[in-house]
Amino acid sequence: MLENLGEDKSIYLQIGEMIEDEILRDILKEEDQVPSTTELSKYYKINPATAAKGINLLVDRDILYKKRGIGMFVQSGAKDKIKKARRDNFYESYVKSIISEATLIGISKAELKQMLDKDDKQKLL
Amino acid sequence: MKKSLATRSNIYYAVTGLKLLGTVGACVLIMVAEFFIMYYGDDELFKYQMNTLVMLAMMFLVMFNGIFSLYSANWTDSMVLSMGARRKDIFRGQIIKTVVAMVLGTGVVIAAMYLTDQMDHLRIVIGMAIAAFPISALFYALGHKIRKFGKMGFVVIIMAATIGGILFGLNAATPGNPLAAFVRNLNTGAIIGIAVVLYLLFELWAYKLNKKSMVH
Amino acid sequence: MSTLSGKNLVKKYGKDTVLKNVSVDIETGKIYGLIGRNGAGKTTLLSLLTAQNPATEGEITLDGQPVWENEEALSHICYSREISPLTIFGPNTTKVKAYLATAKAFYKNWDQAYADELVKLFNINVKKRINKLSKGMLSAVTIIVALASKAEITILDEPVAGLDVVAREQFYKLIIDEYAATGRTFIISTHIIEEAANLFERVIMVDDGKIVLQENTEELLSRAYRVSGDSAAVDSAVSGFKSYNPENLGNHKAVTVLANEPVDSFGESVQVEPVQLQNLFYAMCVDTRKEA
Repeated sequence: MLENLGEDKSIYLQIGEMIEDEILRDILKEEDQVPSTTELSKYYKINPATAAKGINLLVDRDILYKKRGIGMFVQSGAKDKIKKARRDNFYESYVKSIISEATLIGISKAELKQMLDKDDKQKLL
Repeated sequence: MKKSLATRSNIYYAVTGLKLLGTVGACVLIMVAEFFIMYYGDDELFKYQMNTLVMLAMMFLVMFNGIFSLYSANWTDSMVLSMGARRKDIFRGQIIKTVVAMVLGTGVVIAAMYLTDQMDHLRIVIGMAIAAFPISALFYALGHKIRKFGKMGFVVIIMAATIGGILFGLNAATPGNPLAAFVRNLNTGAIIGIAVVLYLLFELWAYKLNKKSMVH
Repeated sequence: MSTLSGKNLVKKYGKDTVLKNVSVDIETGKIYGLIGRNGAGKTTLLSLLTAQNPATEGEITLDGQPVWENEEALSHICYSREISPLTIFGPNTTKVKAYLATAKAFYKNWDQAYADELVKLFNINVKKRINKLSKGMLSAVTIIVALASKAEITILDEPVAGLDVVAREQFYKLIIDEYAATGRTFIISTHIIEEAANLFERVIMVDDGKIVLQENTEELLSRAYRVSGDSAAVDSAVSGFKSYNPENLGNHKAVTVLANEPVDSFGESVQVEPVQLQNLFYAMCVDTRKEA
């Protein structure tokens, strides 16, 4: 889990993102139990209602589901759902700012492509 | 089922009255021990000292009761108000504390007097017990008023009361003293009448001040 | 859900008007932050809301019923204040034990077991007299009274003053635990805003005897921005918005903006960052007084 909450985004959104990250990294697998709102709120020193809002957001998007009396669990198929949603946002969230910065300092498209090819560990498919 | 606020408050103040008695009792016991050590065996002197002891005990009782009232208007009221007590609970509580302390305390003193054959001073003792009520109300009202003077106000009042009390008590206990004779000859009805009137006046004053009390 | 309301509250001490026509609504089931400078009127406001001091003008009600001298209303409220180690007569020699016993007598829902647990947690010697306690221990005692009162609406005035960082963290965890378990309402008045800001569902800001704002913290911050860049660009970007605390460094300028609604963009020529509660508070208060 992210140790510190950032200042740039609403806290409940950050909570949601952190859980999604853990799902993507297989730290939280499908059908695993997710920390309770009380545990989350104590860990980050936030209002339990805020933690609950973050969790509920994920429930609404079918990433998590509730087992009555027990807690919140990762929905099967959650990983794929998160990937798809993040895909849709990838351009806005990451690529746009790379283009903006590259333009600012005068890096050409060709140079950018070269940088991508530096991926010798073959992280990108 | 939790008791009502009024009941819990009454119990609290009754217990305060008992604590007051305890404090007075401790002081008296020290004096009793001293007197017994010094005077046991000499019957005449012993009786005289027991006399003084009884007067002093009553005086301590009346005085401590007054001091507790004074202190209450300044600290206890504030503490108790901050915890959800109502002003009327506090006002009623002051009366309960005085009643508990004076009735039980005077009862013990009278019993002691009976055992040491001093019942001739009964009138004075009861007179002092009655006097405790207007004094308590007065001190409670004064307690509110001296807030602005701080420590000095408190010290002045205590010293005045202590000196006055000691003078009165010792004089009243001494046979042959003109003040004692005067007090003895006062019409019982007059004494009670004056005490009641003063009591009502002071309590009215105290009530008004109590209504406006604040947490400090 | 209940509401503790203060309507048109005015409080004067002699000629000094400390609260100037203040209206506030506290809904149960939330954690509130009450922030304001020293002398802004926070403690006075809380005293009035809890009927500990009389209002010069205005009404205080809990669910429509006046709170003043009302047993039912008072039984739902706890306002745990700083205990003074001094009384008029000199040092306050009340023992902690006696103080807690008085709390037990007067708070209807007092939980002695919880109080004992907390006494151990904060390592308080209950036989000690109040004038012999350190500042931190005094704070701990007020926290213990507040929590163990189990009152539906619990108010803490500067609870962390005098607590070291370890004790402060302990305190925040206690509040979260208790809130998560019972849903009790907490109103926390504090100067150390940033540590506690994430706890506040709603924030009430008091300045110079008036309530500057009372809203949902997150919604408030979603409309707060720090706009910076070239001075002229910033000025044109923020025109039409309420801005505070302009800071200049050569040609560079930064300003804190509080908009009526979230703003999509201030234009391309300026940088925009979110604002933390403490910084928003600072910007708004500093500006009012026109201080350097």
